[in-house]
Amino acid sequence: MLIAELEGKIPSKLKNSEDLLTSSVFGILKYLSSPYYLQSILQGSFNSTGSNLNFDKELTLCNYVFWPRLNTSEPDLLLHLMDMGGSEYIICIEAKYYSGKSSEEDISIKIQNRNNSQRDQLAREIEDIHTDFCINLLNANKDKLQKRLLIYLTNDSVFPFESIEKSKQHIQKIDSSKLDIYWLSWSNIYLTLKNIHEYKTTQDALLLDDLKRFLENKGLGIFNGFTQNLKEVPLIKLDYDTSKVTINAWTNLLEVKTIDWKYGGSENGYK
Amino acid sequence: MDTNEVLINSIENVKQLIDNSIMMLRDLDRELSKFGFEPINGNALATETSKSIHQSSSQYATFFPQYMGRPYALKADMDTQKVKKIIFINIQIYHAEYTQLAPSLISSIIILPETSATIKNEIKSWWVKNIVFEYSNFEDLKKNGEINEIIDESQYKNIFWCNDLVKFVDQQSIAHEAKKLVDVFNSVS
Repeated sequence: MLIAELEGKIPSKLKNSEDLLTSSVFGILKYLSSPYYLQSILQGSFNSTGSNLNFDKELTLCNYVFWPRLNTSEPDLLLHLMDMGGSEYIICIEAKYYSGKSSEEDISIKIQNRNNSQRDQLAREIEDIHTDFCINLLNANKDKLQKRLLIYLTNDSVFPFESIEKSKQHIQKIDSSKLDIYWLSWSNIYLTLKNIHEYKTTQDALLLDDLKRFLENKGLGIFNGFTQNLKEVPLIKLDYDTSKVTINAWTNLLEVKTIDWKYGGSENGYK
Repeated sequence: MDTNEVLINSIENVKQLIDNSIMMLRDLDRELSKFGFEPINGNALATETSKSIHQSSSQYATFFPQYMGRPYALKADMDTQKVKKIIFINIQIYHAEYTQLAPSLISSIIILPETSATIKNEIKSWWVKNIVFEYSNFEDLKKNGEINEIIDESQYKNIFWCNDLVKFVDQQSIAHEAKKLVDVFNSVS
């Protein structure tokens, strides 16, 4: 799919699909030789206090589950990570491109009566990754789980405070001190990849080079200076000189007679 | 190079200038966001344009915009409706009165005479442009990142510095500019 995108072979109706974008980006990351690249990307996300996501140790394993069906939600991606010390992490990624959350909390309905479409999407996903169902799905070791968090991956240029704060307000059944929602932008993924200059394998370099081109094509790149693509042009002077147009109208006027005419029909004098 | 080629390249260059300026502002958004700042106008760029057939190339609002502004306040200040100072970034692409002006980034901190509860309604897109190019004589101002300070007749204190846009070449230069903005913001009252 990524190559088709790069070569302009994707039907225009699919170009803005966030599922395809998610699949292209994380599909590539999944097949790289090491979780090092993914770790670098995830560490670019930060929370509402501006603190970056940090892992104490190097990640050694990563299991990707795309669009898992959880109790009340279907996030875009679940990551089950393990670091060198054996600690485990569950990261839920909800990706957006041009759209917002699929559902927001409908507070006009009593909480016990609200169905999934009446609940905040991120709130449901946070609740779901704290269930045993999710742990079992990922085959995670509960005793070794160090963090469970959600990354809201969007095309915003600033931290989407409002969306995230609203979701936090509506999370049920979980101790708020355990809540962690981070934000990552698509362009930040590009930024991280651009700052990686050493690759573990030639294959990684090829795949990541394509991924960077793909993000650039999607308009998800970053500022890279002003002068790179400028073309040298000589100064030209363009004048549109109205005085060069000779107007002869005044010498060719036809004689006209005055008429008695009023708009509005006979009531107003028209005959 | 024939005239058509010159025009095509010129338009291409202008598109590059605009696209890169917007990308730069998006990156500044992200950097300032890390320090708790939010754009006061959301996703909108502050600018002045004109679609009037009666416009002249020497007026401030023209078909092709002369500047892009992006004001920011601390989210905490906006939440409590107590905004006393803001960050205001202005990319001045050209100015009718300074024909030799290189496209510039003007970074500024504006301290309001009174705390504002409705900053979004109060702020004007032309504030920085006006102070730098119309209230002051741009040629007399300090350039290359040196700090200028002007208090206007309405007691708005403007602390600002100017740099050529082409000085910004990468993410590091953007991060550095954001850090300088935050440091100056925190140091003035």
